[in-house]
Amino acid sequence: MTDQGAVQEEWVRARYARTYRTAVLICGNPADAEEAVQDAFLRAWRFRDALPDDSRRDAWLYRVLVNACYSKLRKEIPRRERERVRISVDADVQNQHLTEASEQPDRVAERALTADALAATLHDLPDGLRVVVILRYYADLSEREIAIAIRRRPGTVKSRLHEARRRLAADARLAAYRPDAEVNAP
Amino acid sequence: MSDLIEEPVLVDLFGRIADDIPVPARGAEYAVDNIVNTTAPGRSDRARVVASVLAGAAVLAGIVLALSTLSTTSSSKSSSSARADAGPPRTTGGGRAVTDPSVPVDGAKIVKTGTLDLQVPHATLRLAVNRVTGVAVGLGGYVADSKTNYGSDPTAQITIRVPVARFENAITQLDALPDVKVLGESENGTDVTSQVADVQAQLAAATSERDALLVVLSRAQSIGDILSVRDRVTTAQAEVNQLQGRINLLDRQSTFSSLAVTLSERAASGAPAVHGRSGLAKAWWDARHGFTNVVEWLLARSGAALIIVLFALALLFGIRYLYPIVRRGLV
Repeated sequence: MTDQGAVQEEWVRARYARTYRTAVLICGNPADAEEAVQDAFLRAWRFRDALPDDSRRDAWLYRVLVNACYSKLRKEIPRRERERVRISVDADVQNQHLTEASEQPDRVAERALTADALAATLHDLPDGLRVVVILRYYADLSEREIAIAIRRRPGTVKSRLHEARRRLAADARLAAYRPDAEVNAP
Repeated sequence: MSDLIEEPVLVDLFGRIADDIPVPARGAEYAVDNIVNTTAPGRSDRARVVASVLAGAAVLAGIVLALSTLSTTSSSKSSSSARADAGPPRTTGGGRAVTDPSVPVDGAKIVKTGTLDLQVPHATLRLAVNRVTGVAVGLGGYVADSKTNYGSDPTAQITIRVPVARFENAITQLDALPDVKVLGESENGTDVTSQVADVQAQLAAATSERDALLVVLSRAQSIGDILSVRDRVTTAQAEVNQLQGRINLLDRQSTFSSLAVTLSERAASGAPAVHGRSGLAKAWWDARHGFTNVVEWLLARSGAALIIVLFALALLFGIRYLYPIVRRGLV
């Protein structure tokens, strides 16, 4: 493999898993996410050398990814029919849960419930709020990077994040995670 | 703020549900393959940029062309309607077709010239001169020469140059100017294609001779030879310049036709019966006539400016809306 090929592979592999999972969380289904991610890596690579540092390159990658996901969300299926992100749908993950369940059944059950609750709450958020909250708390982008990614002002990102957090906190399914809850989740 | 779920908790929650999303085992590999297979030295990028720019240029050219045609048509219509308002139609001395004349399709070079002798109402010579100028400019031409006399016997001789393809159109529009009587009209067309070819052949021969003489001059040893050859070079160069000048002249003449327009005023007694009007009728006629004249003048003068403004707006539109699309296409 040439040096260039090695750089490409390293760059993609270092980001693929997080990017793919981000896409799944945004798009709501693995098939659309896979297409969006492939498209995003291809397009982002073309502009990679034009961007000064890794931070901006990653922001650019997520910008392309968000655009691709929006495109999928717009044309693929109506929102109400979108599949929720349910971690238990995958057989491998189910098996993994069963394996863990034999060791710590309470913890695994709680973990599944939490995931379901957050997935359901996320699903109910408007696209604009869902994307910023995913980019912030999963993709670990700063507000400035999110602003680049969604082509909005940092102030808009800040207000959307606040609104998203307010809605998440207001959802009864995540009530246990509020600071004022008596028993916080693990 | 205390009602919100704390950020570390959210990070943990998101991490937990995301970690349980299975990642395709060969996804990264496919992505690398995609990049390797489809990013061959950016050629596709350049092709897309060029295609986008060409498409944008074609759209703008189409807009400008359409506006230019629209401007010409509206100018013609305006003249016709003004003429209808002004009174009974006048004879123009020939049923000329208003459609655009046929343009030589075989590359022939035609030199067109013409004269037009027009008579305008009393005290409207200045307005008529403006209208003639407006017609020339509106058709993409210009005023090459102008002599006006606003004295006791007001007359004007204006030579306008318009693109050959619009020569007939110019005559038609001038014939159709309101309140104008055509006293005389002549047209002449000469095919100078063979003449141009002949001069070009002469130019090629003269250029070759000059070049040969320059070679000889560079090799001349004695003062006498140098002086002798230099004189011949000077003569050959003069001939080259002369022939090139003739070609340029023929090119200009075959690109822009020349139309000599003579304007003269009718005597005061020949003026329309407006002076016989009185009161409200006269005021209304004056107002309508003045309004029409001003609008026509503005349209004729603003033709080019209007196109430039619309072109600028189209460019701004392109930058505001098309550029992001092109950019998105590249991303």
